[in-house]
Amino acid sequence: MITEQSLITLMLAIIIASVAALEIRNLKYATYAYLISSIFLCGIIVSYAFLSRNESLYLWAITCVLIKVIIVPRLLIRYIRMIPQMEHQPVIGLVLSVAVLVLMLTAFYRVFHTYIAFFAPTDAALRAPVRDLLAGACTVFMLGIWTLLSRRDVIKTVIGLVLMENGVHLILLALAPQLKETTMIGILTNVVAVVFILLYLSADIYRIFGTTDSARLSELKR
Amino acid sequence: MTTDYSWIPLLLIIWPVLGAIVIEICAAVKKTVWIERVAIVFALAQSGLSLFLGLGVWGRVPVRVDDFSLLVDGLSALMGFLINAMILLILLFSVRYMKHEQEQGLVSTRRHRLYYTLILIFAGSMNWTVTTNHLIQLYVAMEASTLATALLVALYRKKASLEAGYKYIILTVVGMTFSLLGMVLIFAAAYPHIGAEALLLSKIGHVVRIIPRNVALLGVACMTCGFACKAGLVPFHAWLPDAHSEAPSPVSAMLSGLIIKIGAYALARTVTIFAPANHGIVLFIALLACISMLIGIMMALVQDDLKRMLAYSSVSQISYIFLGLGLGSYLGIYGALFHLVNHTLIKALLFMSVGAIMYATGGVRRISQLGGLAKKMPVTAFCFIAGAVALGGLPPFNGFVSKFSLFLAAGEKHLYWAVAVSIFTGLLTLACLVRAGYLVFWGKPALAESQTNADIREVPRSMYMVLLILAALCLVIGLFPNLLYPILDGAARSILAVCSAGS
Repeated sequence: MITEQSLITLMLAIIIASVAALEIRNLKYATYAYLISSIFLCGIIVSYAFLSRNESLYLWAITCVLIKVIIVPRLLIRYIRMIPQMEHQPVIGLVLSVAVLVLMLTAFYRVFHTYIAFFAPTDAALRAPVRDLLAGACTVFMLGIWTLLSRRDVIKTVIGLVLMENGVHLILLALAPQLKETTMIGILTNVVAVVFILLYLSADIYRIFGTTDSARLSELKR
Repeated sequence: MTTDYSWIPLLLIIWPVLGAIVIEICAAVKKTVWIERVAIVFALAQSGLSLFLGLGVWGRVPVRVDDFSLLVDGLSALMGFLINAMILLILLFSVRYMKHEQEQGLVSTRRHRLYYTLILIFAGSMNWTVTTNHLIQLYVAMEASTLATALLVALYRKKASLEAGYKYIILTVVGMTFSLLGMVLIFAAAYPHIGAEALLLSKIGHVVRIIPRNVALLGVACMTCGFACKAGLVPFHAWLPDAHSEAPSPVSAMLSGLIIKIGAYALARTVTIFAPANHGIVLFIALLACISMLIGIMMALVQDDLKRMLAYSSVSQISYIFLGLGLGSYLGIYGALFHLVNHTLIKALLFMSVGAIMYATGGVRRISQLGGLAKKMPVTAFCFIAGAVALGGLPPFNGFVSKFSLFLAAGEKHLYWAVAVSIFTGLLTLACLVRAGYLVFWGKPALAESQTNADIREVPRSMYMVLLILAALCLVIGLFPNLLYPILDGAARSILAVCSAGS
């Protein structure tokens, strides 16, 4: 049966899958990790809809499956087939990166969890499970930003961007589940368009530069 | 009997997209010669429609379309007309320019078509951005305008243009995600009190009074960062010089004239409403704007590439607009909107003049490689210098009037340091642009005379007429600033009306 505890478990699962999407060097498997985190995300939306008896969220969950579980990973995989499977060596090594991440994410989670009242002073947000959901969502958001900052590979940048968007969508779910379905769908459709155009450009970048290392895009550093 | 205008806003969003579809159909039935004509006819109709809508709105009641959360008040009507009229001028300039690029082998037939399709889709997204009354729709529409222009920036598919397009899209999308976060925080804090109305832009004045101060500040900070990213303020400007310099010149005019203005528009709709209640916001934006205008113009001074120089000066000029909007006072908003209109005209003029230079010289845009063009291209020379003087803020051109209003507005709020920085930046701008104009048109060419200058001549009439129209507008507005007063006054008052709503 779906309980408030299962929401928190799913949140933890999302964070772990997102860390995997960031840390796995093989781009194909990293995309699968992203796919799994998206499945958990849809799970959270469904459980939240069930718990709060908010039927309009089911439609959002379906769109989410369509976009985050099917379309975006498909686009990524299709592009990854054209390029080398392994990502460009990031700035810091695996062990150090995981250690930094664990410390950072725990700290972020604690800080957000403690100071929720500062940025979301509503009754619902202060109680479990929304409080935990919100703290987790902010953590995923920070993870996305960290990915954008620390990775050079074009695909990893895209993954960072979609992780960040996942975080914002979770925050949206926790803070504003009353939004109209059309608005939610509009926000989600944006993600597909962004990923499509980024990958479209990246394909040309790979064709012309012969690399997916964004640090080597340095034509304009004058 | 009153005229019913409520059908226009939605049509303005759908119409350009329809035009894009017609272009694709033309291409499918192999009538490629029609493409430009279709684009221009659609843009002409759009400008006419938005002018008609504006005439109905200015000085009267706003037009509402509640089913789609659209609302056209004085500001929306002003922006709508500005956008559609500029797109028309840019398309007129593009016809010969892009044909030339196609003949040079820089763009393929397919991309030539894509160019017009994307500009029309962009027009639709911009019309949506300025007519929506819904906070989240504003975000979605702004994202749509980014996506439509990303491929235009990378149109040449060269190394540099791909890199510029990639940077542009990543930075703007990340910035806009932050602004979405800010919007959600503000919505969540206001929802328990006023329900779904918390999402309406026309109700933000009410929201300001009911949400706690710390949430308001955090939300405003997130939104300001996002909109500043879109507008290219320092330190969020990394995409701007690259995108402006690598895009085709008419697209640079569009980026500088319209895209970055949309960041300012969004700021006016949201952050400005919060400013009167929180002096901290005024200071924060004034500081951001002053740093940005100074760094922008300093970077512009050291550029050798004409388009990069203009791009950095855009960073500096958009900061003037942010400064005025951040003040939250009538004079500040009035001056900022006035400068917004003026800067759109001036920057479009300057970028298209550089486009004309590139057209005539086969793509040369380095100041050090150009020189002595005044005799060969007198119209372009006149237009560029007019734009340079107007941007520097010398009377009798339009830049003077709007900058002067902004200085007064900042003085009124006792931000004398901001006035000093703005005046200093204005002087540097004048020096920077006039120097560049002098070197390009009267200086000694660095390359051998025979090598480059032999067959340089004035650009075709369809191109220089656009430049002349823009230069004439700059002069007319400078000489008779009262012409625009009723419209700008209505626009500024529509923001203040939101501020005081619900009190």
